[in-house]
Amino acid sequence: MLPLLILSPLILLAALGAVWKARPVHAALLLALTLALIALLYLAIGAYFIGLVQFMVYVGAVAILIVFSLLITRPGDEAEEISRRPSSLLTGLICTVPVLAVLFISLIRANPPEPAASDAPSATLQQFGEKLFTTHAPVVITVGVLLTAVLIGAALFARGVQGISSSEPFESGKSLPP
Amino acid sequence: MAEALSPHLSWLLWCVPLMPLLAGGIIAFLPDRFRKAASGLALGALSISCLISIGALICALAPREVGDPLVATSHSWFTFGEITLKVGLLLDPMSAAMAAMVTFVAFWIFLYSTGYMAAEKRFGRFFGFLSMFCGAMLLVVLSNSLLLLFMAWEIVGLASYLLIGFYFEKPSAAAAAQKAFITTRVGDMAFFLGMIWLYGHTDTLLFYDHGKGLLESGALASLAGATTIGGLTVSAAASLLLLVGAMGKSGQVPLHTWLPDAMEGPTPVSALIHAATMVAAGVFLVARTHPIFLKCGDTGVPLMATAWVGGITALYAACVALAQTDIKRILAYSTVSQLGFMMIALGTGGVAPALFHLIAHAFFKALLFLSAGSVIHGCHEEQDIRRMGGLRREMPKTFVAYAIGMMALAGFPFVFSGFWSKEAVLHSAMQWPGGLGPFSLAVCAALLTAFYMTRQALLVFFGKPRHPGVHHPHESPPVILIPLFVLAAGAVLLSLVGTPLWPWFEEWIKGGTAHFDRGALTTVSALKLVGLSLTLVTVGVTASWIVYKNPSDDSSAPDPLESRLGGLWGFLKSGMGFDALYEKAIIGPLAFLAGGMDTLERQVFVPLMGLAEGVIKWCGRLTSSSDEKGLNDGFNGVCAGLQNSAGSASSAQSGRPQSYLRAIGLGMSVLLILYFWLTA
Amino acid sequence: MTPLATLLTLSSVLFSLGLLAVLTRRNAILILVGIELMLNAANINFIAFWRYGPPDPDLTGPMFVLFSIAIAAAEAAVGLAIILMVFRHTRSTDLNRLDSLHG
Repeated sequence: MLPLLILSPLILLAALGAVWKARPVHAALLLALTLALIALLYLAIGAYFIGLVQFMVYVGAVAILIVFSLLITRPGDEAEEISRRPSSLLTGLICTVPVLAVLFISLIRANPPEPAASDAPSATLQQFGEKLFTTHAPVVITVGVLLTAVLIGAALFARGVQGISSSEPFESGKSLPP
Repeated sequence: MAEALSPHLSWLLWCVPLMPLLAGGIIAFLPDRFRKAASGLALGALSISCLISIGALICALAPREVGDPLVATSHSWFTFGEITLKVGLLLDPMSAAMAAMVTFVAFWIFLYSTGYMAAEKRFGRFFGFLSMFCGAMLLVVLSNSLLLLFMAWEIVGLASYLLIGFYFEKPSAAAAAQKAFITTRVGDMAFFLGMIWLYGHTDTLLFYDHGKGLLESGALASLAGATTIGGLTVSAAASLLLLVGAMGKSGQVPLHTWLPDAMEGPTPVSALIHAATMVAAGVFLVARTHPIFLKCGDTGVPLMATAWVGGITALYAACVALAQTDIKRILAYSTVSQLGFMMIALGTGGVAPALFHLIAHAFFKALLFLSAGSVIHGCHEEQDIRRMGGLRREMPKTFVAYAIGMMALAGFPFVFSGFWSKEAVLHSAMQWPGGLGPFSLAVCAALLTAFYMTRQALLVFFGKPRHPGVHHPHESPPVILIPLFVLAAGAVLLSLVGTPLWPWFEEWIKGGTAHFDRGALTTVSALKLVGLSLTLVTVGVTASWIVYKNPSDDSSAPDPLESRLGGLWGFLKSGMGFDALYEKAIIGPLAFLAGGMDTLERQVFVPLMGLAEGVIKWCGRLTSSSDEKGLNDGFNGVCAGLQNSAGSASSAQSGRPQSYLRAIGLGMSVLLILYFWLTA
Repeated sequence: MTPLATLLTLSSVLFSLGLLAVLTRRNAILILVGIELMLNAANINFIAFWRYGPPDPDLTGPMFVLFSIAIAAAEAAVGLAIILMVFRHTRSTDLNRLDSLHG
């Protein structure tokens, strides 16, 4: 329980920073921090495998990817990096708070039962392996296909698909050429 | 033949009027170029009718009781609830003689017309009208129902109108046709009223109907029994009305003004309709309904009226004929005068003398008109006698025919039927218990008749030719001359059956048998009358010869009588001012009224209509503009509003994904909150 | 507060924060950041229920989370590739400028 109580606020703070910070790179790094903290949380709970996967994939790949993308798409001057406007924040809050309220209300109504203070259920690697490659084998294959497709697609995108020219500057409001 | 015919008479008799009517109907549909077909059809139909009529005449020769006709049919025609109108045909001596006369004379006039009207474009139509007329006239004489008689009477009037106005491009002809129709209409209204009165009182319009008919004792008694206005019996009142109807049709004063103008029609029409047959229909009506006239209680008013009207007419027309210069108008007024004679005979009690005079008159008046037609044709459509003269040498055959007719009309003694028929009329007038007034009028009229007929003969056929122009008159072709001779023969031969020596006709009509009585002419009264007639004829002819024996060569010189009579001549020539009187008294006020109505129409109704029209147009404009502005603009406005709102609605589609997401998030959470709240 | 309740609260708030980022940020990549946060919040939920919920020998929770992470990674890759393509075309990552499908 204690690790939970310590980690939860930290996670929230980091997330808040990721959401709030004006500079995109700061926000991305704070995202990485958040993800790392969540991984720590998983480890504290006892989902060791998941926690390690979280570290490797999210922190090691996704966060890095995001940071690199930000670096690629960095605009010329500082001013454009500010990515937040006051009015849109208000509307955003108006739309978000009800969602939060709904979540809280459903949480309260659901009234999750008091669990018997138990140890973490066993989640050995062997069990993971068994489950993955027997019950969920098709899913694993599908995900593999998906990731392959993503790889190919991303590579194609990076190379540049025929027919799209990036010579003309884009004007807001004008419809895109086919 | 009579025995073979009589069982079939009741239906054969229908063929007599229906064949010419059918011929007329077929001709109505033939185009103008089928000339021979039209005249052939008319002649053929009429000859069939003639043969049947002569056969019927032969059947009817056997003496029968008056009131017991040989054939009296009745068929139901119309039924309204309990009332049935019946029509039928009647064959008794009167109708048989009339039918035979009408078909015979008409046949020869038809034949004459094929030659006389040969140059006419509407040849076929002429024969169509003539056929229709003949059929209707035969229906008049053969009818057993007063209603059928009236309807046929009207058709006869229609045919007369169509034929008088045959040359309708001439305004005078069209006016004459209209005048004839309207004047006879006045008479027809009285006829109709009389007929209705009779029907209302006796519930029948059939003449003979096994004891229930109008002319049979039961009806007559009920008619004579009831009294009405002025103390007259119903029979007297109805008879007077019928008399007025007869006066219109037969041209008695004061409804006579149409007859002279009717000479605008072609000459065969004048011969057939306005001499021999249609004008005789009035006389026939009175003769047919004579039993009703007779049974009028003590006063005998209708008969008295008939006799006096006849007398006045006879003298009046004879006077006016003196001053006429158109060859046909002289003959027209002569017809009016002779019809007056017939009315005198009817009024003084003799159906037989009236009918005999009618039939004889038909023959010689038709003869006179046809010869006048021959003269007109020969003189190249000249009708003024002042421009004729000496035609005796150039048209001898016509002269002979004309002479026979003229002598018959004037009453030349012994050989001609006209003498004997006039004798019979004078005889019955002389014996009338109601006084000698009509008799004296008839005597004067007879004198004048001889005078003016001789005048006409002298001016047309004798003396030196006065016709202007190079064209010489020529004799007419045989198709015109043969009918003349046939009619002339008839005029002479008829006298055989009407003399007092052997009064066959009279007895036959009365239902008895005639006996040859050699001594009939030697009785005192007979001798007195014959002497009187001879005197009248001699005086009249001689006086006329004295005045007219040397007519001047100049065709525009005044008539010898004109210079002697002065203003009276003009008065007589205009028909004693009757036309002018009617013009002032009747036509003038009516025209004024019509003008007033026209002004009313124009000044009041037309503006009112214009007002109504304006209102309706204003309403139309109102609805149209409300449609324009209200509906159209309203609709356009609604559409624009929809488009604008759609425009504003679509602005919610900003194209930015974040706003969409916000909407989704907000919407979803609101729904869930609602769900929680409702299931709380 | 039970550990489960704590974790659930955490995941709710984290989810809302992620949603806020998605709805508010102008930079397309930072929106992806928000999406990642939301996915992570869902993952926390699964793990929480596996750990503190009724016993489950099937390892449903961690299995799900495993695949979720894999999918999230793939999606981040594709999304970033798209954003980079759009950036190549329009020289900007501002999402507000991609409104040519507006009404």
